[in-house]
Amino acid sequence: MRVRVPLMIQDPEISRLPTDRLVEDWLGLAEDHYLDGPVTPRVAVVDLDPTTEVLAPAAVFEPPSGRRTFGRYRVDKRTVASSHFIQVSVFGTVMRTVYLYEERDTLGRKVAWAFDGPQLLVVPRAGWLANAYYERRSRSLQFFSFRAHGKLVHTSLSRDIVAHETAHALIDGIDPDLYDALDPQALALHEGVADLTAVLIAFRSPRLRKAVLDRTDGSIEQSTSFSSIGEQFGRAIDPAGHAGWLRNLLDDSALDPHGDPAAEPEPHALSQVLTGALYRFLVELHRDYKERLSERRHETTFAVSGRALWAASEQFKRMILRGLDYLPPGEITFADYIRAILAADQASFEDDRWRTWIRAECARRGIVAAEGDLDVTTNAEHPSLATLDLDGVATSEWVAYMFAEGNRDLLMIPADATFEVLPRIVVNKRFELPETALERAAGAGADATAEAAAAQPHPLGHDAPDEGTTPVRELLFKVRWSVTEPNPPDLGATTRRVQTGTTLVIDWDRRLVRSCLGPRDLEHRRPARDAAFRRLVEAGLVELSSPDDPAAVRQTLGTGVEAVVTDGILRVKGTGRLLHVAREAGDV
Amino acid sequence: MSDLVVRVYNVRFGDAVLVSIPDEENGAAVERHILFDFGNALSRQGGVDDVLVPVVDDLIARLGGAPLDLYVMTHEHLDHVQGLFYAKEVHGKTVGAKQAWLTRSADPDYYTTHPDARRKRVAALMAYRTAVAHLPAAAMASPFLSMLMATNDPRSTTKCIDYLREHLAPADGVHYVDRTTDISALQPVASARVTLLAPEENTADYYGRFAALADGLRLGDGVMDDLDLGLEPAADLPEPIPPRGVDAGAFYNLLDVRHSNASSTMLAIDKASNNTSVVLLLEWKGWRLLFTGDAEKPSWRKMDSLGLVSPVHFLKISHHGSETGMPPPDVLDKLLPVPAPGAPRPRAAVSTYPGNYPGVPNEQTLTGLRARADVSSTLDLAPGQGFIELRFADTGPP
Repeated sequence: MRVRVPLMIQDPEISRLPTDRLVEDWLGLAEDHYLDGPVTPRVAVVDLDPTTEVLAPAAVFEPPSGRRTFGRYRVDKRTVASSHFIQVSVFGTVMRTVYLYEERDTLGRKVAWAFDGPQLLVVPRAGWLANAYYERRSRSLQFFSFRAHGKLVHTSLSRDIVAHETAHALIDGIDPDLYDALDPQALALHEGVADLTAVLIAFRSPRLRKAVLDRTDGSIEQSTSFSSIGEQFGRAIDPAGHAGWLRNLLDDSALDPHGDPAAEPEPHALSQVLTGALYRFLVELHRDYKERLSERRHETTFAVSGRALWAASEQFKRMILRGLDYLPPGEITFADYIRAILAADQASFEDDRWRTWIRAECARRGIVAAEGDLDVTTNAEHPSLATLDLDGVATSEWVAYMFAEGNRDLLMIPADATFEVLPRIVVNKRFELPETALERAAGAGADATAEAAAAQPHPLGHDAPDEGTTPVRELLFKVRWSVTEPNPPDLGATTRRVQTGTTLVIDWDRRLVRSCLGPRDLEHRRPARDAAFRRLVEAGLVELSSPDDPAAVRQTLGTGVEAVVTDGILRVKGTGRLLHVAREAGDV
Repeated sequence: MSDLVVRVYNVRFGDAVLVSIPDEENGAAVERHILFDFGNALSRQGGVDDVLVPVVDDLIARLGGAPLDLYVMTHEHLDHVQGLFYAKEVHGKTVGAKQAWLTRSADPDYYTTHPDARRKRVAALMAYRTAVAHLPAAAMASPFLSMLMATNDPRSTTKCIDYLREHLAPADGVHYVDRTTDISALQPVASARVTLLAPEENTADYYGRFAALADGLRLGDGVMDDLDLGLEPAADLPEPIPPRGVDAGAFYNLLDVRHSNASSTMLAIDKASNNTSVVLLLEWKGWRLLFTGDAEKPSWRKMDSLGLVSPVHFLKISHHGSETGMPPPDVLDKLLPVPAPGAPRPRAAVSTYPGNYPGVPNEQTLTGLRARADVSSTLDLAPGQGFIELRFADTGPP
């Protein structure tokens, strides 16, 4: 059943759009069942009163009726601060973000949540706080409200913030080890991809696209409406700030590739190195599409800027989100993620132009010391794959284990390491060749970004037809093992255990190694992990405990971070819980 | 009367430590008295107020009608501030002081001059209110949570602190102190030297976790409370039922985690306040005695980073014998190095009571301390024995 859902498309307090244009209907929701709430099998809104925890009346679902072919939730779009509108809008934005990740040219599958359960709970009025967060333990997204300058601000009404937090939940389902990582770059990756997700959701709004591009002469470089995250929120908490937004992706931050890893900033600030590089890539991609579409359609670059943005954002989306599937488990770095992006793209597309640009930009920003550090091998033959029982590997724990054991070299598993094989995933992805995408963007009858496009299924959306796309079937095979390393002795234990691993992606039909990415910088990054843990301890955000301590003693002061010492070995978990949308003092 | 005497009163879960120091005045021998805190927890057996009466009676008897030379309120927790107010209000018994030193952040003007600390402190209070307001009755039944709420309840502590501020010492004898306070003109005992090792003057760092909440509230100057969420939990709330289509286990898990987070918030507030404790070093005739309030590891690390930690002959064990009140191992090595066999052992004392605060006292912590010092506990007092008494000879340490 298809359902029409109203979405807030820009933070209401800062939008230059007229009030009646702040809400846009999304027609792409296609779940199996809908209940009042909204409640669906995968996402459910639980609207607790922030002070009494009494459940607020749920928005009522109305199935299709008469000539109305779409289901809907009964809300008044003119009262965006009403509980019903908040319930439906936040639900819609969450689902839109979920669908973004699941499209067939991104992950090509439904994402399983990292927690044990099918349903992500969304609490749109979780309490009084200038923040929002995803929390694995409670299986929820929690959006708080606060008062600023006499106005009540609901983070659940911020499209950016909702998309950002939903991305955390999705990334946690795809790469759950990141939630327990100590390396600031691993946490910063979580933040960075969540920010970029918010931008991609913004691009999905035809009305916002048109309004912004009209104002900026067709550029996405100048407008903070696209490149800023949480503008209303940011202005509310820092009205005297020059920028007025929570995070600006137009950033030239860089790392020193030869510097001390321990000196890197906290994850929110660090994420801007990654997002700055990738957003710059998107700006260049957009510019390139404008030029080519302008030539093809014999129009000005401004006239084609909307369709160019659509095409560029689709390519960008595919690259950054597919990279998540190719990422190795455990403690990873920006460089690992960039290699994963490049591998996923190189395995499908021959044109190396943009990958070359990305390598150069990452080297320029110090993510790697040299462009060659990002070289990856794809679509390689390996003797073990020729006659491998792929079905057995995919479905049998024993067959999968034996394959890993027999291919330690390929998987870079140390000879003495005890490893585990993670659940395998078989994915059927499809993608458009760049030329096809360009033709589609150029040939659309009306502006490809017109509102009518919102009513049509995306070519690679949930239920899109296959024509014009190229299939690829992948087996995602991940192995993980622990490494013990020295821990600063004044921090509770002399030894620390961290996770690492390898992701092997097999082309099912051609029996090729599409990619095999494993640990590269683990030892080099140890000072960064030392510094991160020290910051956690000194900021009072974690206290050391033992497995035998009572739960109340093991409480980590609500931070969700645990530092448990077992038999003299420290294991830190739950650092991802610190990933709020706003930086807090003491954040590490 | 030539010995310095430390008396750690049995107040169950609380602190009341009287230090009596031989001194001279106009050629005559006198005894000076410093009282560190006086109070106990509000709830459960550790908070039985009857135990406070013998303490105040003993104080009055020892003082012989004279005021204390110094009263130190280490921090603003009920189990450290309640006693003198209780004695006056309930039993009409008063103890005066020439000087009252209260932790810096208890100064009514503190938050005017420290806006960052104010924002975070208010945010912490709001978090307290929110946590209290939406915790259902079942969670309220948690003794730990009840104790945390009572100890940190600003309504209860305000009355006690106002009493200390306004009725204990003359107005010019009330001082709000921190590590940087110049106490050269305030030394209470001529024969001894008092040094302040903590807290830091800016308490904002102790409340760092509440920065985002502080940002969100954006309270106007001079307004401490904005959102009146009430301090009492909402009564007669219906039993929460999962919405239709929401997995029941997930729903109740959500509520449990939220309550756990609220409880953790309370704990964070509690700990932040603990770290505002005045930590005072008293030196007399070569003896070094350290009185610590409820200082926890962040405070110890700060003191150590400033090079303030060195061996002592007496330690008032912090935070009732909790693990979090112990200095980190490397700092403890500086404070109480493991003595060589046959060497004189330092002494330590803890005022504590089980069953009020999970993990307090922490037996492993106390066992570790016993390897370094002779540890006395109020738990080991015989019936009728109202205090631990430790004497320090005027000939100095051996």
